[in-house]
Amino acid sequence: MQIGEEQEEFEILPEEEQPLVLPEREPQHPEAAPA
Amino acid sequence: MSHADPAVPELVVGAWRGYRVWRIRGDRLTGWWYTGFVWAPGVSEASCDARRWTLRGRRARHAGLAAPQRDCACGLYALREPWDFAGYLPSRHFGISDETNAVIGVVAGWGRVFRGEHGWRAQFARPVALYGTADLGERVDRIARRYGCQVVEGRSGLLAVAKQHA
Repeated sequence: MQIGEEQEEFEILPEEEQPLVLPEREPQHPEAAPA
Repeated sequence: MSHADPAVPELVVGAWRGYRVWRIRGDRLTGWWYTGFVWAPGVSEASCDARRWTLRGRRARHAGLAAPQRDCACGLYALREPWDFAGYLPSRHFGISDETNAVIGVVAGWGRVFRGEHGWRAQFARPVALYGTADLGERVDRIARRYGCQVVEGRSGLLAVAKQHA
């Protein structure tokens, strides 16, 4: 099957394997820190 | 979309879908061109059987490396654009070959992928849908059950499947 001479490389993750990106945590105020 | 360093593959989320042709051998799907590669039910992984001559004889061209590799023909192939799905296969993409037991379908691919102007070749792929035709009859239904994919009838059905996300 001919797909073309010039080829560009990709790394494709299936949607179910996409990396988990955690939201940045809000900085805690000293008074909110547990004792 | 391009990226700054062509040596670093661009990261994409979500498998790509494309069109291809398999050959039916018994209850299995095999590759199309000059290959005896048998597609596995579910997910298939590409392998490279390219060899090179060395002083110690013929050795694997990409020993220890995952297929596909640049400057090679390895990988699991698909075309990005549909054709009319009627009559002979377009020779510009498929060459002139025996179309006996050919079945058209939609395939999803991911992992290492090289994309060209007309299609791509991937490390991992799975059949998503097969195009049922009168001449293939119930063989397509049987293979679809084995491979866990659907059977569609009509060109518009295949196009709709290809547009869905994997």
